[in-house]
Amino acid sequence: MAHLVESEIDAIAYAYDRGWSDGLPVVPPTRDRIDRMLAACGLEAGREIGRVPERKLTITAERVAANAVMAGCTNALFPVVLAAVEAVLDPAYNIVGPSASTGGAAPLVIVHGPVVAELGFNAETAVLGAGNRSNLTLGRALNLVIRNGIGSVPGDLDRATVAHAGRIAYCLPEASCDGWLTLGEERGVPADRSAVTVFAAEAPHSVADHVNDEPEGLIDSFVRVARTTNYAGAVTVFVICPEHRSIFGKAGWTRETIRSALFERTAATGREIHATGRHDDLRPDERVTLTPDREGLWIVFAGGSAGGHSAIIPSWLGAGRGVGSRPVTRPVSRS
Amino acid sequence: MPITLVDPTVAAAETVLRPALRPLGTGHTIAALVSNGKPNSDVILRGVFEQLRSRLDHPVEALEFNKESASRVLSDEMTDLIVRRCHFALVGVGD
Repeated sequence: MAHLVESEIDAIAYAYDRGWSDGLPVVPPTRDRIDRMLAACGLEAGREIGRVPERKLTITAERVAANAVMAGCTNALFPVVLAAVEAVLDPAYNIVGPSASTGGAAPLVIVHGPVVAELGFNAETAVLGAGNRSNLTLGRALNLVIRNGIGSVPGDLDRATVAHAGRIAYCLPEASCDGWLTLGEERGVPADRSAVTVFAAEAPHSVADHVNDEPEGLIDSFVRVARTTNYAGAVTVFVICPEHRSIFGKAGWTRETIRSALFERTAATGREIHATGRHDDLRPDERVTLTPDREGLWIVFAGGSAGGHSAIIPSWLGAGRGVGSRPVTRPVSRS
Repeated sequence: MPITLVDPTVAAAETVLRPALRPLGTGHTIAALVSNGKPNSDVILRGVFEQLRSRLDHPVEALEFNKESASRVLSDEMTDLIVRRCHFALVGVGD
């Protein structure tokens, strides 16, 4: 169906009227803009990117491109958008679950590899905030595909009670740090390759510690915050800022040391977890770990050089320790 | 000069759904009680079923089904079993 309007301003208003927008103005999805984006990947418009069998939907490259245009993506970013869309359409992610749930989770896109620098992603100051085109438009494009392609519209498929701002854009580029492995490398992504991991996630929980300058006290600050989160995911993401990373590093702690300490110290009883009101199926004396295994504690180094502000990003409550949703990693293929 | 916009939405594939050919008669009837896995879904379904049974004048039996995960759709295996064995279904939805 063709949609004719008189001007670009009319097109923005038309997108609002049709329900295509996330609430912010969109770049009008014109044929020439979409064709240029498809050409950046050498893709035919009708190429199938994935399916949503529960809703009898097939997502094509053209529809992904239309939403990427609306989000304000550059053509160069389109391969990254495609990888993120492929990831959420993997059955392991279970796109219909987090998109419909009252839990209101959002798809966090973690970006790995050289593409972070090449496309100017921001992994430093205000990494989860505003101000960077690649960070914001990648996350926004994915959310627009979920809205317009899958139908996750508030009040329709989307039944989130509160939700969070990650439903507009939620992107975490991973910084490379001398002497430390990256999450991407731990996930099997070679250092010279780019990839994205998509994770159905709650909002970030702040870990602010400007007092502890040795790892034992600092790790307990992370543990205290982690114990207030849900114990429902296959994965919990720890975003560790440079100041905190430096404290661990100077003391000789590795990613594995940090992970082991977090895994042991966040273990709680069923009674304690039940008291948070988020779980009702635990035996009182059952030992419950934050994630089913320690490999589920993911560490991402990111953030600005000043300040003791890290973050914990828990999974969607409905993830069911991985049965309901699991993170999915996809390579970024560039033509 | 008018601008032509490409629709960014995706329409579902058209499918033809056929109702099962098993009109409710007066013989022995089997109901599927399909819990969505949320707390008390099974309790509510049993309560509704008992109300229904008290109003019918022929025998009705219930078979209970629980999803593997509240976050996932009903498995194909359970769906097939319901289609093969049951005359109608009561389904728990929502929270």
